[in-house]
Amino acid sequence: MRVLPQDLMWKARGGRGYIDHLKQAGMEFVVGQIVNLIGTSSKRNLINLTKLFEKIAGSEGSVRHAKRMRWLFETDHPHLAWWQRIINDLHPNCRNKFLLNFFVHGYYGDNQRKRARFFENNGFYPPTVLLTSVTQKCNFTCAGCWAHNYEQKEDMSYETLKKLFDEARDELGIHIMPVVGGEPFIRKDFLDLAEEYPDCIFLAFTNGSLLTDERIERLKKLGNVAPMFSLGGWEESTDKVRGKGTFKMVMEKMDRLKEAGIFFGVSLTMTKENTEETISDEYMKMLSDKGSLWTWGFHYVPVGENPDPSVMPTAEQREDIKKALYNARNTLPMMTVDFWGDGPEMMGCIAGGRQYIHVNAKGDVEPCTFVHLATHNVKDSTLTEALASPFMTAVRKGAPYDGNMLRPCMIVDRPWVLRGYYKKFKPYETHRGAADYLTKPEIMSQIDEYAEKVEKITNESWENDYYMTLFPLPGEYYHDRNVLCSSKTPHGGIHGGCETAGCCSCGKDLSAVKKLNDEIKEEETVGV
Amino acid sequence: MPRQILEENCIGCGTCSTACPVDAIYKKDTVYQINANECVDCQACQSICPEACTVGGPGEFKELVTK
Repeated sequence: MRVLPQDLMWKARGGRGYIDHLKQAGMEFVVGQIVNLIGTSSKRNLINLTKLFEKIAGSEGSVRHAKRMRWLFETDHPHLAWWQRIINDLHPNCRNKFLLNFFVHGYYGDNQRKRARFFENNGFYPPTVLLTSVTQKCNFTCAGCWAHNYEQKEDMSYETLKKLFDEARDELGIHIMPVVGGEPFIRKDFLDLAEEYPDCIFLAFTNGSLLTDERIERLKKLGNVAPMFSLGGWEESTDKVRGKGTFKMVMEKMDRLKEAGIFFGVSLTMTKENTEETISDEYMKMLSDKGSLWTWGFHYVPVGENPDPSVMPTAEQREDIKKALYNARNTLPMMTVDFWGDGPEMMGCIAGGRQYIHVNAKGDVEPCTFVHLATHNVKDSTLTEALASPFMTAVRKGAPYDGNMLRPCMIVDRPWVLRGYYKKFKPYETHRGAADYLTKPEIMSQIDEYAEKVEKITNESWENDYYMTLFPLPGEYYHDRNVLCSSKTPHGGIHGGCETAGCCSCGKDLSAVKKLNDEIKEEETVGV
Repeated sequence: MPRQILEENCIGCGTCSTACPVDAIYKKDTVYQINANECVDCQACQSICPEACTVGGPGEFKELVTK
């Protein structure tokens, strides 16, 4: 198994850990200061940083992450360039806020302390990410978007949002707060809200049209808001879905943000029509060159009123997306995530509070942005209560189902599961037609057909070990798209295996990798 | 298509019943059984069963029995 189960991942280090939870608070401050003080982002500095991090890490998962990073840095993986880009190119304010809020607070510091406390009190781990729709209003009317299915009047008040974020940060230890909608920048008080949570990072999924120069100035000052632009291919495809001129406008805004040194990324919506162009090498290269540091790959999911499942990328395209995004993050200084294909990294579906939870603009707590069903509303209950509801518990408990994490989704890969939950727990629909994909026979049959194809393809991949985590782990070797193995089908799939098989004709010198692996193995045996 | 538990293989450990997200698995004498009306076919029980004794719907079930 290449991925750690959750309970091991978050298990506090006993005995071997250098510091206990209390001392960790102080260390967190120290790490923050070190991040601030990194004058140069040389390879050596970054490697030393991972070593330090390994020593102070509070859980087994963090140690594992640190080792993986060190291995990547030492083998000159493009991920090293990603970190250097963050450190060198970003405005100091944005850089520090991102590194500190996302990694230190969000995953390794504050978060772990509060998670442990939460587990003691409630018997389950809280999510690490809280996705909030601050508004459902939007100045765009993109084809396939569900935002306009919601009633437009009922956005949460500023106070409700504050209550929600306070609870998330102080009780659950969540510091990573993506903000969706709607268009978040339509809310005039959104940036004021972000200002009140300087230790949280807000990833604002936006169409970009409202990022005026004044707002960009303010983003620079705040540092904890990272815009994520929605795109769907080159100019023609993007404009077709999002309206004329959108592509050019977004490109222009990206240039401005790059100039200002603000952390930003791109969220791609992949459909049957635009998959080929969005995952092409040229497109990924363009995004990276434009300054995008993070690219999120979303498949179109048939949600909303009377959705059309035929728009989804096909099962074969899904495999291509998985490979392309893996290749992109292993060849470009850009982080990419494919929420379906990268299932193995997160141990399957992350919804229902397993890793993240969605609160819509009305305050209904939904297990996933693509599941518009809820049993609780934050206006009259707490987030903890909502997470402990039987519906959410079931969503968390069921994953990763039969163990194949390449088909993690309970909506499109295993539709009968969500239908079963809907029948049993009777959650309410958060907008008209939200359960159409669970109840309308003509839509259901199309999704079933898709699920069958996905099952066939992914089961084969899973059984043949033809899958990957975000980056190759120590001991695996990766192949970039320029220097693929001569056969173009390396042992064990896209990467890995060559080294153990002792045969790789890609021409890369593997001795450094081997040496490092032996070192890590030795350290591990000594440590145990 | 609800899951079933092969009674002759079940060791009565109850691991599946704690893993079931919809509480559809209950104890019957010394073995466990799945309530077909409640099962959502998520296969969580299948992946966790130490004896690999939960199986899929009728077709799959038959195949295993004849082996």
